Amino acid sequence: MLFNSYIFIFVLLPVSLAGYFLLNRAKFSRPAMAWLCLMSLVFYGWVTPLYLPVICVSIAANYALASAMTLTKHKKAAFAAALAVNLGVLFFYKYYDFFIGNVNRVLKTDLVLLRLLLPLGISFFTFQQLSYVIDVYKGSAPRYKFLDYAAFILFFPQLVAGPICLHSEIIPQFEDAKLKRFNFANFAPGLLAFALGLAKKTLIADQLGAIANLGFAAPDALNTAGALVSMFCYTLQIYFDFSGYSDMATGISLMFNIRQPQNFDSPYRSLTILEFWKRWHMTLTRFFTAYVYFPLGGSRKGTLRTYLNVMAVFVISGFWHGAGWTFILWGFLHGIFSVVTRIFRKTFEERIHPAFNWLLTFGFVNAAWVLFRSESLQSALTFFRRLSALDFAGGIPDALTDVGVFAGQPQIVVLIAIALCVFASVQLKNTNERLANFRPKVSAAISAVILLVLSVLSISGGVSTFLYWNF
Amino acid sequence: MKKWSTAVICSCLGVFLLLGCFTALIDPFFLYHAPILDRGYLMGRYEEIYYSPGILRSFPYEAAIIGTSMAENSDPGDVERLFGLKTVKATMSAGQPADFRELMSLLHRGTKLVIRAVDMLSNVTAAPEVYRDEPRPGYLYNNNPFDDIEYLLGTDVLERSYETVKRARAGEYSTSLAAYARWSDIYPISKEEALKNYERPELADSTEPADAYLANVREQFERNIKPSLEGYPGTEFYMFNPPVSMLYWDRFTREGKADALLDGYFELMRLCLEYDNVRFFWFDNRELTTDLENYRDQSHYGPEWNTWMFEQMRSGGYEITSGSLEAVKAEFAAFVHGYDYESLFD
Repeated sequence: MLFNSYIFIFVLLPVSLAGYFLLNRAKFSRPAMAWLCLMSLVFYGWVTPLYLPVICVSIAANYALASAMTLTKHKKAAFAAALAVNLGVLFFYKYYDFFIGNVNRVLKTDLVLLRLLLPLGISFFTFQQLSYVIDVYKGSAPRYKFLDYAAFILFFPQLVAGPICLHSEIIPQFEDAKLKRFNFANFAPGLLAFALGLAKKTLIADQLGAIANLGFAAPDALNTAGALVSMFCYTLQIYFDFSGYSDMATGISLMFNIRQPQNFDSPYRSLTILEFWKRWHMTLTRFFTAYVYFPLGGSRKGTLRTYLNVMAVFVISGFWHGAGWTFILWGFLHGIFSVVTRIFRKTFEERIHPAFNWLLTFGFVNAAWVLFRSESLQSALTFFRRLSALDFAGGIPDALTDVGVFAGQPQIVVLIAIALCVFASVQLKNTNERLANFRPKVSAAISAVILLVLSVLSISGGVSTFLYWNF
Repeated sequence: MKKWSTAVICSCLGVFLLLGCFTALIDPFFLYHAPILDRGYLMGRYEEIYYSPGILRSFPYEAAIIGTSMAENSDPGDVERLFGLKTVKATMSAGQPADFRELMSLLHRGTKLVIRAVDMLSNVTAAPEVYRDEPRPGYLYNNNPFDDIEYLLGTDVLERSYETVKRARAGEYSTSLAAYARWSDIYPISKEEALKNYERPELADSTEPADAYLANVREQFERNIKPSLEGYPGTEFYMFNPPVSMLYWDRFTREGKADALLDGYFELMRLCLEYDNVRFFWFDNRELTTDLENYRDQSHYGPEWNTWMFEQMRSGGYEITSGSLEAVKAEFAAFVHGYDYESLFD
């Protein structure tokens, strides 16, 4: 189910909230948790119930193996089994065809591809479970009640596209008796965050995404102007789409009195690539830092090893985002730029004007998104060729911008929209900043109503999916 | 905080309610009721996928004309005059049998007569599960009240509701079902036009086996035609083959498909005629089909022939029965194979 669907907004969300708080009010706190799990399974299985068994078995297996680590003497074996289960399932569904495809290409074999449909959010719920079993193994996580653990993984606001939460920041909130009562002080900012996220998704990301889709579908038909517009549109689409989703997740969680970790902090404001990764998909960066970078030695084993560790994290991150060479190269380039920035940190921070730093970082991020979005390395190469051809003849191709809300509008409207969105993503307060200073003012209410009404009205005529569902 | 939240939610719900009521009141695609304004509705031939289900749902009628572009020039007034039944037209250009199955499921229970143009090519060769190739507004076709929200709060539908009112005030468009979807005002009909729209295929090297489509036709019947015939036992179905020109048979003879198509189509007629509430009309009027002046392309004839067919139905002309099927088929196949197609191009 999508957050931007009628069934979610008008049925699942209010029914889940009502059931959860009514059961808690009647002192049925365990049934309330069961209700939350049930609603989350409905949310997960709504479009295709096919993968409900996958997530259920994954949860049960992880819980059982974590229990075995604490209750039996076979801690190491249970831990190894937990790693094998999580990474095995992820590999099977997400990476098997990539590996077999490459083996076929290199060894000229004809091994059969599985062409499996990727279970929604598998990368997210697998990572959350990995973090838990690793912490149990290290002795830094308690053994939770099964329902609390299941609710932590299944909790529908975060289930399919993050944030990647830690057990220690969510389960204690589920267990806190004070948070089991409906609270307008959380619901109101939650509603505003949901409105902002829904608007980001439906009113901005989907509209600019329509242009990006056309541009990336046929890069050889683009001139430089068209390639630039397509690139900027995708850069903005992915930000407003994913951060919009995170805002909605934050908002919905708040309605349940649950505070999620922040996932975006205006990343396009960043002056260096190191800063960018502290602001973009923050919970993923946190995961890789804690569970990959530190175990590899972090920065404690010398400069060269630090740089190698940084590269390892970014290549793995690229691979996590997708089973393809475009994603791996995207991660690799981010790693290279991060290492270069670390080497010349003083130069970047002290000698280069912040405006130039911003341009450099934003320019690099834009170019790297081209790789991320392209269907293949060949397609990305074509895109870059068109981008660098300096061919502005005829301006932006009409066919590129005559789509969605921009259909029939002069092209200057598209350029103004891109400029406004860049400005908004850099200069305006982000949702978390707005929530931190939330006051129930009339102006905020009017904004929320306008955004919710426009967003809901724009849902009809084909519900679009969130980009990060594929990861 | 409580006041703020309540105000936001109530305001949103208020706006949604207002907009939903406006759509339900104007009801541009007749999901809930027949037109409440004299004008402004039925705006485009290419939007039958939106209008036709609503016509069958919400208009008052005793008889319905259903079919593709071959029925679009029909005037329901002809049927009213000939049969004395209040009649509507619910057509769908390029509609596939699966589209018509869904459309016919919306017929009123007390419908006395359905006049159904049964296109040969789609019923014989198309895959039974194929729909007309465009996004389908499912909420207009099913009886699920929960997805009506897509209709009530859809921006496109809201925009159409507003346009309907605006056009009604300007006196534009009408609710006339005779004019609905009619294309004869737009496209010229003449031999010159028919030949201009025809691209003669090369002679094929091989001939398709006569039974090439039989399995498909049977599946097509089971899936897309039988449910209507069995679902409305009290309704009389007058089904007919739209009388295509000899250019059509020129094409399929040259492509080596004529016998396979005929076998398939006659099998379909045989299956339909097993039902007591079906009458089938085989409009093999050679005065019509051999004279390209009656056509705009290989298949589409002028509106006077729609009227002529209704008159024949009334009098029982050109009716085919289970008993006459084989003889008619043999005679027609011989005609198709023996026809001097070169004369069409003189």
